[in-house]
Amino acid sequence: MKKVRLAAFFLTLCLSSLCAYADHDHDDDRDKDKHKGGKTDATEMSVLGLAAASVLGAGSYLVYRRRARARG
Amino acid sequence: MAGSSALEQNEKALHRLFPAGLRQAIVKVNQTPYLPVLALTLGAVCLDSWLLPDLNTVAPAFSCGLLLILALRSSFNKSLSTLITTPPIAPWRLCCFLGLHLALMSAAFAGLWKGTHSTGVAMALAASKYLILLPTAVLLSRDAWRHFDGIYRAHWIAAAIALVSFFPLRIFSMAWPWYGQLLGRSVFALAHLFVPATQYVATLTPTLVGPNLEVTIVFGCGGLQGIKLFQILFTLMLVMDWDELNRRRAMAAYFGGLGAMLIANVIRITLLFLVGNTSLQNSVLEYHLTGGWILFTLAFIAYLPATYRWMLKKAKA
Repeated sequence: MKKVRLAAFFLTLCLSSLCAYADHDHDDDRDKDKHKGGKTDATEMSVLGLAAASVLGAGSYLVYRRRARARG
Repeated sequence: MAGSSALEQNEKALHRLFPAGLRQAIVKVNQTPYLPVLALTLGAVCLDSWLLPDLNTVAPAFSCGLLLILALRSSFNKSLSTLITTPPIAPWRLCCFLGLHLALMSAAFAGLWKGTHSTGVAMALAASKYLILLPTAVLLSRDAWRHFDGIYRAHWIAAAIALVSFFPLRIFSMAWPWYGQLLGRSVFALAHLFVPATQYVATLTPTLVGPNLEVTIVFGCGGLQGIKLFQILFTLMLVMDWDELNRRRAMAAYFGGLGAMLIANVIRITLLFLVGNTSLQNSVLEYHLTGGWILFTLAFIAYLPATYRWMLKKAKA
């Protein structure tokens, strides 16, 4: 059962990442010239930031979920 | 009985080829009701999206993918005996499905979704992009769709909500003239408490003028990225805990979370403005995008304990 959940989890993460990557052309290009964030531009920051935030958020959720179940 | 013996033969064939876990997984995947319909739809939508970027079919692809994953997940939770095998799709239905997709692709190649139009026409054309899901209707008969609805009602409602609300760029674009002002005034009201000299300039992109830093709130600062992050993380939560969730509460928590992300965005811009009006002005200019992601992640982490237990079925009693 754990394997199924884990597989579903990563499948969804892949799907979300693909969708995020697919539409970043549409939503970020307009702001490309308006923001300059350090060494990379807004588009790269957006994709990298979303990926990092997703992993961090997902990890936090898994930890919280495990603790919540342990407590019953 | 013929169906069950065919199933046994399949299992025996798989037994020779794959280890036990993978074998069981393949059998379960094959026995997911309406799997070919869901997989065909997802494949066709992804192919259309790849070939025709004008369609910008991210939300339909995401929605179909979610429905497929939830359906697969439900199949894995049921014993083999309770599963129903799907009747094969009639060739003429498959031909109609492909024909309709080709017609849609031809319309896109002909430039139906290109060019600038008046607001009403642009809205109608944007809405018409959901037609990409219409060919799926011909894949099954009316009775089969009723049966599908009986098995997957909660699943397709979740997918439909994802379809209309995933990454709401157009809604934000339409709402920006008044939403931008609401955002600007909210930030101003908060920032004014800490920096009394703050001034507010009400333009289409509202500007807050502080002693050391001027902050212009452009469309990209509207909180759409925070909403996208929340939607991705909530989808993961939905997939992981689908069977234990109280569906109505989950829906309320979803829309509540979208609101929470918009509030987090107000706090984000206020913090940037406040910190930017100290000696850390250069750091704010350089790291404000990264800081935004960190704050949105923290907002999700704060929202999770507030709603998670409430969403679970056990909390219903």
